[in-house]
Amino acid sequence: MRYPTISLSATDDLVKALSAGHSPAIGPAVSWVGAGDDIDLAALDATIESMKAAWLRFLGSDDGGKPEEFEGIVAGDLHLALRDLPVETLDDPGFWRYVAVAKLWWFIEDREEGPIARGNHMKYVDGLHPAECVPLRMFLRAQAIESGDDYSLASSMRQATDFWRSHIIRVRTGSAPPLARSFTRLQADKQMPTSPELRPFARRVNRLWSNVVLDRLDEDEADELMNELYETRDRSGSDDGDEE
Amino acid sequence: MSTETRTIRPYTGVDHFQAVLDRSILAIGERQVEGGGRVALTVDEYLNYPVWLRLAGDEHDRHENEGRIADGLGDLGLATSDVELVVLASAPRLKMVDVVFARRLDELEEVPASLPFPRERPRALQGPVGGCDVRVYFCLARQFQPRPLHPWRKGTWLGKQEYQLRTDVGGVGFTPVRLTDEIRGDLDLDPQVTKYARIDEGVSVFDVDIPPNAVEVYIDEGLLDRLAVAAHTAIGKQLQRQLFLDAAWAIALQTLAEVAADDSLAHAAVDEFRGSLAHGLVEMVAGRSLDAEGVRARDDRYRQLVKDPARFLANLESRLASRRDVMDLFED
Repeated sequence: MRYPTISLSATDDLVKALSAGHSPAIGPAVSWVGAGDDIDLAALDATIESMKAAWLRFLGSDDGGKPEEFEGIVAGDLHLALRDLPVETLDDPGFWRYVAVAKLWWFIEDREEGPIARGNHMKYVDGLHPAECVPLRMFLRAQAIESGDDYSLASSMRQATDFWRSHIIRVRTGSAPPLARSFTRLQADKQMPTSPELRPFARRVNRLWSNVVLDRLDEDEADELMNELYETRDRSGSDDGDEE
Repeated sequence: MSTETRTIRPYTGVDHFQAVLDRSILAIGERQVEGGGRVALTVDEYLNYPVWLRLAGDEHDRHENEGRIADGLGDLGLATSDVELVVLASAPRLKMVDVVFARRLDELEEVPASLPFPRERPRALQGPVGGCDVRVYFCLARQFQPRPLHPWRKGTWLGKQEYQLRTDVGGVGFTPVRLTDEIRGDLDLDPQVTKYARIDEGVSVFDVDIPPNAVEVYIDEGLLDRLAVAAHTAIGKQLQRQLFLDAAWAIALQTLAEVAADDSLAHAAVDEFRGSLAHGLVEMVAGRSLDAEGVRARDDRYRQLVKDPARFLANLESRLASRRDVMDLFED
């Protein structure tokens, strides 16, 4: 299977041109990797078109929502369009650079407007930083909480960038869907403030991983654990609490 | 003063389970990886060669393993139905974990000598860039009533082993980032700064799951180009060592900051944070041995890191290059 990629240096050049308001030709920068038939990206293209339409509606809505909320709303759509691609493709940072630059730049330039304006754009498009690269972090957020085709938990909280980045995607919890779903449900319900509650709480979860194979918990067991940790949480800002 | 109680695995009997896994080997074709080890494979080996976990080299070893497991169960007061043997294959970058094998001990006719991975490779072994972490556990198969000095939570591991499989396309360790004038400005660095290491914002050096690129090492773009063509010269090797030490300093300084914010960390057993950046740094000096001496050596080095970081880092540097290597700098 052949799939499209863009090199790091070409990505840098393209993004500099795009953020300067130019319209560089992206096709010549694309390298096709692999052998055999070209990968079918029709589902991705269709999803991107529907995301663009949703984005325009979102911007025009009375809520005046922020790009970070939109990121959660459409994370599941992006995951659905990509989840059945070969792992070899998803594993290649060059493919994520292609998705970022060729397919999702229209959103990324708004979502990360500040850093891009300061020239600090690469980690949002380079495919090397899973918790930062916009399409990859959207994919990982949705993957962590998907339940069949239900991705509603991905947008269950407003202004939750730190929750997803620091407490799900960056840590092992993001690879254990029952636990990630349970943590997300708990936080959506309880809305622990980042400090003094959420960070110490998340630290206890992360430390449990060093002694417990949390991958082995099913949905009910994960809920039970989360409730137990919540009931015994410390609210003073330290991460005190007996984990075992 | 913090009153946190952290688990330090004070359970009688877990040594027997650990002893079984300490002898295990992961094989990929002709290549073999010992527990706690990391191997760099060719892409072909990674994607195509058969993989299996060898728990015993022969029938005698297998019989001994059965004895160790029986002893462990006896010491812990557990039945075979209470413990499962689990093998997981994890793609750390894509956060994909597949269960390669999971059976309760009572479901096994005998403790196997080897466990071949299925022909349909786990997803982690289909993506050579991000690598694959194989984890093997004996762990509790169910929840118990909490009891002091007894493991009780479902999933608590009684023995654990890890293997890291990587390819030359994936690389190992940190990737230097080109330091441009724009990035200097963004990072508030002076114009003549040539290199800079930091821990990615929001990452704790005690997190047991290190995010990819958690350590960012910036190097001036011109210097990086020179390094690329002179990587194997004495000065090139010295510069690479220095970049590594810059990263080590960044980890050490953040370790001190986090310990200052949570004094219970200073008294914790460092193996509690196995897999973290802080633990990795300590392992580089004190080794990976899982026996009591190894555990003690890591704890001693961790205290040195916390109390006397300059001495710790000097010792770390000595692991990177011998005095002869440094003297060779003057030979070019």
